[in-house]
Amino acid sequence: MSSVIPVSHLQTLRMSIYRFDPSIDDKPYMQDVDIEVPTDKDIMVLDALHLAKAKEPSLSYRRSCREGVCGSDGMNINGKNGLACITPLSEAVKRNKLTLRPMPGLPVIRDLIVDMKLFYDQLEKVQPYLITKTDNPEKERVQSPEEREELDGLYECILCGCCSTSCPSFWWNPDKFLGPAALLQSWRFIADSRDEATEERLDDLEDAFSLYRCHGIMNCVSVCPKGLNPTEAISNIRNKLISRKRQ
Amino acid sequence: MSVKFFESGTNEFIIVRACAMLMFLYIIYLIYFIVSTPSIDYSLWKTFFEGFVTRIFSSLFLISFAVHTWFGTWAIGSDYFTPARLGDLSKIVYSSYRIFCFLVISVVLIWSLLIIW
Repeated sequence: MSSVIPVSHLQTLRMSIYRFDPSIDDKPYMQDVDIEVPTDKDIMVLDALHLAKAKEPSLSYRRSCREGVCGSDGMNINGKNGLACITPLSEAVKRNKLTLRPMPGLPVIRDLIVDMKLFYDQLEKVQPYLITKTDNPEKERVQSPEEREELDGLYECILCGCCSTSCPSFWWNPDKFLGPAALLQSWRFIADSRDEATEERLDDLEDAFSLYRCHGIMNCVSVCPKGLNPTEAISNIRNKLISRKRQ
Repeated sequence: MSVKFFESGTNEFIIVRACAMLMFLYIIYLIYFIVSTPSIDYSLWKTFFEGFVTRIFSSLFLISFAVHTWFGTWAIGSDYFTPARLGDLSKIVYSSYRIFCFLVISVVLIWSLLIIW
């Protein structure tokens, strides 16, 4: 355990946290929790949540790796989706207040925990795995360094859901529009030189909703904690669909 | 999965962009006329719009505008009038909205074409 921080190096931060326990509450409410944070170093929003939980033990949220890899602590931080574990307070706090809500657009299970089923259902539709038709080679399916480079900026997605739940098109039609995360994964496999189901993948995106509901708002790009660009991936798929039409 | 012509997102995307491009060209055409004509009075304005090329171009603009609006209002309606938001009412609200859009767009288009021609 870290050493005790002198009182003179602490300041009070007011956290306003979305609370909802369906077994007790009729409707959600915002709860203010004052915590003491150090002034001489920057801590992450997740650390602040731990301090708040010490005061309010019933507060619930997901967390695991606490280093931006597992993607489990995606939440709405002062109005913008992000990962609590890699968002420093210095970046998140506005007017000495930190407001935390669950990621918008998905049903709330409890407090900051959302039901990700809709999100995963859409991911499943794009078949996020390599599909091959030819016989397996003796060793492995080889790929040149250039072909491998095509996947940079695509494979790094950790499926935290920050992008899809910041997208208005996903809010309105979460069952029809696949959302930026699933579409990024779709392009990841369309762009993969080893995949042999490009035509089928494109066929599945031809309808008016699955892909074309993206209006290029770019909220997904703005919030992605890994700095990825789902809008560009969507645009690449769209270009492929249009060029296919010309042939 | 194969989709019908009017259910294809790609077709819709191309049609909407083509209409937008045509409307953009028409606006450039109008601006060019306004800028290149030293003093515009009513008779000059009337003569310009009675010209065959302008009539054709205006008609294409109006048709493009109607098509663009039809797709645009469909996108708005299918965003907001969903079962998730309106429950059982969504179908009737959405259908009424589309009929309303169709009527307004049709009236504006036909009326404008009658004025042009």
